[in-house]
Formats: sequence, C-alpha cells, structure tokens
Amino acid sequence: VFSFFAAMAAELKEHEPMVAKVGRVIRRQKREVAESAFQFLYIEILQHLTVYHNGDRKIIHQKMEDMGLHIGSRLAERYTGQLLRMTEQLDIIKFVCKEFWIEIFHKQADKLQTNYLGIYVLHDYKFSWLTRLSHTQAELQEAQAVVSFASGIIRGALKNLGMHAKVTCDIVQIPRCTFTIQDSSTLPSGKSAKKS
Amino acid sequence: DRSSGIQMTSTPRASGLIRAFAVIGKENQPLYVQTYTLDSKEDRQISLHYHIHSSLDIVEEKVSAGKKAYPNARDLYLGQLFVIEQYALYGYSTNTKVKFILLIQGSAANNTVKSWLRELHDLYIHTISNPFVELIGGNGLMTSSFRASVNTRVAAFNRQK
Repeated sequence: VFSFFAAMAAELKEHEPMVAKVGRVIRRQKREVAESAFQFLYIEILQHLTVYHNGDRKIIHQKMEDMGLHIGSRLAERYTGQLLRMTEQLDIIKFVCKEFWIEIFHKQADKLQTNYLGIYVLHDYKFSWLTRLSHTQAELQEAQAVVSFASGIIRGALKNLGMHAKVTCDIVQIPRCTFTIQDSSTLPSGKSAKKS
Repeated sequence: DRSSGIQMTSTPRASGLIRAFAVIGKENQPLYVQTYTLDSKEDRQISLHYHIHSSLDIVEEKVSAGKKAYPNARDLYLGQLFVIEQYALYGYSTNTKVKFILLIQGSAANNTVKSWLRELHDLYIHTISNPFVELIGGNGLMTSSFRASVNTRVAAFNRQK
C-alpha cells in the first residue's frame, strides 16, 4: 500500500510540462507542488514504517528500497524521454549524475569515480534529503533509512535503462554521502566469466 | 477532391493511412497492439501482427548498430524499417528499450511519422507515470483511456493530406 503513497508522492513532486504540436505549439502551464509537501510525506512514511515494524531497521530499509525501485523505473522512463539513445554504460551513469540527479535532488552529483570495470562511486557533498537532519552521530542510523530510498530509486532507474546493479549508500557525515553502484555482471561469482 | 471522412477511396494520397500500431516492451513482449483495418477478416489482422513481429529483428539490428553506423544512429526514431506488400513499417526505440512500431499503408513523410511517434512516446510516458497502471501484473496499457488517446492520434494522422 505504501508503495502507492510513495509513488504518488513522487508523482506530486514532478511538474508536468506538456507540449502538444498541432500545427502550432501549445504549451500548457507547468504544474508544480511544493518540495516541502514531499519532504513531510516522506518523513511520515518513515515514521509509519518505524512504528509498524517496531523499529526493525532491516525491514524498513528493504521496504524503502523496494518502493524506490518502482519509482526509479518510472522516473527513468520519464526523464530519458527527450534524450538521445544511450549506447554505453558510462552514458547511463552520466545521465544519473546529471539530468536524473538534477530533476530529483535539484543539483548535480558532485563527483563521479569509476574503476572502468563496472564500479562507480557517486559523491554528493550536500545531499538534499539529508540537509534537514541534525548532524549528530546518533542520527546516522536514522539517516540510513532516508538514503536507502534514494538507493532504490537509482537502482530502479538503472534497471529500467538496462543496467542491473547493486546500489549502496554510505553516509560519511550528514549531509555528505556516497553512492556505490556495482554492475551485477562484474560481480565475482560463479556466473561471471572473469576470475579475480 | 476527396470526400471528407471516408478513407476508403483509392485516390492517391500524399500521406499513408495507419493500419496498425504496437507498443512492445523490453523483453519484446507486446504491451499494446491495435490494428485499424477496413474489413475485420482475421487473417488480415494476423498478417499485420506478423509483420510487426518480424520488424522487431530489424529494430534490434538498428539499435545495436553502434554510434557511427548511420546518420542519426543515436536518434530514438529509427526510420522506416522495411516495406512489404503495400505496407511500410516504422520504428522508434526508447532508452528503456520500449519500442513503438507503426504500420502504414501507402507512403508517409519521414518527419510526419517521426513527430507522430514522438507524441506517442510522450503519451506513453504520461500513461505509465500513473502508479496504478501495472505493465506486468494487470491490464497494463490495454486500458480504455490509452486506447482512446491512441485512436484520436491515429485519426489525426489519417486525416492529413
């Protein structure tokens, strides 16, 4: 049920420019919703999950990530609509760092590192969803739930764009955080052709 | 001098008529298929479905051709895929590997088809942004509202001279 709330929250947050070409260009007005509405809804979702699962962090993180998966899928569809075809994995990651990050977090990701073997590390020095949390160490645990939703969104978007990956997030210090994207096909496992 | 509204004459038109439209998903599964035929003979519908299905291979070729294979290789619009009998098939493949296939009887200007498919892409994005539309589980795109919107656009295309 909450995946719908969250999906709707994501929907509310996005403005919808619609350009219909019928001989001449008609532009409908952009519909926007306050960012704060989303923030409040988000906090409430977290609160509810915490109470519902008696503070079991693992389940909460898992649920938040699952919600993110569905939403990320749709957001990827939406934001890649106007772009040219992305032929390489690096194109996809650059899209996530730039256009995707801007649409969702209102800024670009600050730094991208890669080992060119399928591991990408995204740094954000002022993650927009963490800026309103207090900077104490105790908050770090709670903050993890906040970013697991973001990890889910990234993972869902990558999946829809054809890249299966594992996304984890480490919070160095609020509001800095680091997302690590690991391409599933390069994970050292029995299935992979590469041997480390 | 064409009689208005009735498309069944055989006078030559500058623009073709849409006979079928399909939305194909990532795994090449059909998400939405609609044929627009004058008669409702089943074998004609089946042959249209078959043409659409065979065009998917060509879409695959074009998409994996690489950046420099042909001009506009990175465009989402793939142009004319192939011609068979009196039909021409056009393709469009999004970044999320969702494909739109358009089957037209007669000839059509590339730009017209391109902008039409672009509109359909926007319609598709708008439709799946609705969290209650489940592509995998329930009806998916086979909803009356999507069908109605597609039909409106098909009619608009067919009305062009």
